[in-house]
Amino acid sequence: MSNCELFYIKFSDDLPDTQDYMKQVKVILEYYTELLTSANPLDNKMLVLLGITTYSYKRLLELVDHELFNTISGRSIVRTLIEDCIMMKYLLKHEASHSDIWTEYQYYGIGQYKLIVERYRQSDKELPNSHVAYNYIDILVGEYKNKEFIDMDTTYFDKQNIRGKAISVNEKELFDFYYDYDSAFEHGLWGAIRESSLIKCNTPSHQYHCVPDIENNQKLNSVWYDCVKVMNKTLGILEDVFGLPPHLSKGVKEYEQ
Amino acid sequence: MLIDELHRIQIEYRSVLETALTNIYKKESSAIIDEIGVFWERNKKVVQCILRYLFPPFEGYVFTSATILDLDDSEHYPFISLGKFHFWDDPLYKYVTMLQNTEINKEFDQKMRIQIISTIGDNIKIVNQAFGIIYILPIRLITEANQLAHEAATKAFFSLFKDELDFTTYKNNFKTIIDVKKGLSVGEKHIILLDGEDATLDLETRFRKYKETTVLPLSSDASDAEIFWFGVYSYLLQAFDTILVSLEHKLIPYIRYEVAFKYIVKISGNFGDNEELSDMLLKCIVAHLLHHNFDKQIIDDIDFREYYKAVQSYGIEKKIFGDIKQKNLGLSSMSLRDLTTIIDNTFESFFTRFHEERINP
Repeated sequence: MSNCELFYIKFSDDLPDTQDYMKQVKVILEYYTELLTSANPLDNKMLVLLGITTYSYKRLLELVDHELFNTISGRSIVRTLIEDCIMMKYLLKHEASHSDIWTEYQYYGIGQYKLIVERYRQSDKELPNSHVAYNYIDILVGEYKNKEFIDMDTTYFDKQNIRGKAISVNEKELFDFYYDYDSAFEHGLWGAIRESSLIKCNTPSHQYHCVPDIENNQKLNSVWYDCVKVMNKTLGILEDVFGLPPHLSKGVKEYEQ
Repeated sequence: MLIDELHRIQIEYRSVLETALTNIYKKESSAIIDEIGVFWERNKKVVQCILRYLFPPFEGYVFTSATILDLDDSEHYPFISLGKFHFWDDPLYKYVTMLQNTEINKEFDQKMRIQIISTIGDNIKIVNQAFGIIYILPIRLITEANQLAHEAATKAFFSLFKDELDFTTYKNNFKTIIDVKKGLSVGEKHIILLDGEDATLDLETRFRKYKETTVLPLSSDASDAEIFWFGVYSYLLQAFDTILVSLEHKLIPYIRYEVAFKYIVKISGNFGDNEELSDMLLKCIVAHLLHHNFDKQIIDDIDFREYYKAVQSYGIEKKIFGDIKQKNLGLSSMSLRDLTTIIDNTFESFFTRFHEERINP
């Protein structure tokens, strides 16, 4: 049998200039955090919106700190940013039709944690080396309310999946052109596997088969500019709700391509 | 949301001031005045947030080193002519603290009470007449640099003398103003004591005038040397404090009082080659010159808000600093005459256009 003649597609792996943009984002989040703690420390709406944004920011930090722009993990990150952005818009759109959508949203998430903990407790298993800190998340479940009174909802929040939510907040494009593709990577579907983890053999007698990319040669197109776009959208939501001094908002908008 | 918080603070502060003014002569006046201190302590975090984020660096002006802004004398018109954000550095909190701590000199105590009443009245006018344009904040209250200013002022004071001194040796070696004059290493004309004083007069004469016209929180048997120390040290402290506070919050100090302004310019050399400070000082100098050259008769029949809208739209600050840059004027190549000419010409053009637009809207 002849040798494989392998090739992979080379995408530009030039590192983008992220430092200044990340600094600007941080200043904006510092501003909102100070506003929350000094003016409205018990404002649940602000806490939820800022909490979701902070989660997006931390994922973006991971992208930058570990240079994941051209990796599988990068797609997971941009997917999270998109989902967070859609969720924020959804919560704001439906705020008026719920008595307290912000608390509902928090307890939906906490209820899921309760399910995870209860499932573990009822299994009688011991997992001392697991990354899931069951004891700690059990404490989080009962942080503000006795866990007996917390429901475990196994459906989507507000009974609607992310696609439905995206449509309801006029972000169908984000779902259709980005999220759906990134989901293939998140769930390890074959399309994503083919694109990221297999490389082509050019030998005719091998019938152009694919070979696993164990040497990690095949990188992917950078997610940086899409992350900036979605992060700016997210910050724009906060700006619409809580305002933002113009000189702070100008700092991040300059980075969009 | 932040600007809403700032507006809320202004309105609530006005209520506190109105209550204080109504009750200041009653027996519980100390408690009423305490309310002012309590109010700012309660809102300290929000004020810090406002000063940190509300405006871009060095685009806000702070009217400082003054006892009142003085709306009755139309002082607010020149003040808002430059910059986009305007703050009145409220000294009430400090006066209240001084009143609580001073039992040495009854005359000073009485004068302080009168000053507090005057400042409260003026502050209420600021909220009523300049709401949304000039904001009252006790900027020094939330500034960390105080201890540094005290150290710097002490060092600067003793550097005026030939010998190496400290408080003990100064008190032991100097009693009269002649003692002080003999001990100075700088020329006596560098010591400024009063606004508009005749600098050609000798130090003894100027010092005598200073003692006659100034009420100080010192005992009646304080020596000349003690009075000299208190006066000059206070000016130096105020100057260092103003620069440090302005740098910390990235504000431009708007100084009306000539003595305060001169000491700021004198001590600015102590900060070395600092580009931020140089730019800030240049704006401070322009603001001071603008204030002194501003013709209040021209704005006699102009509504304050109408004037504010017009200066913002005309962009007076941008035009003045554009011309300054064009003529290569800076701190190192300072020509007060050229600066004054630029300011005067800019205002002449502004008022010409303003009145034309009034006639032909």
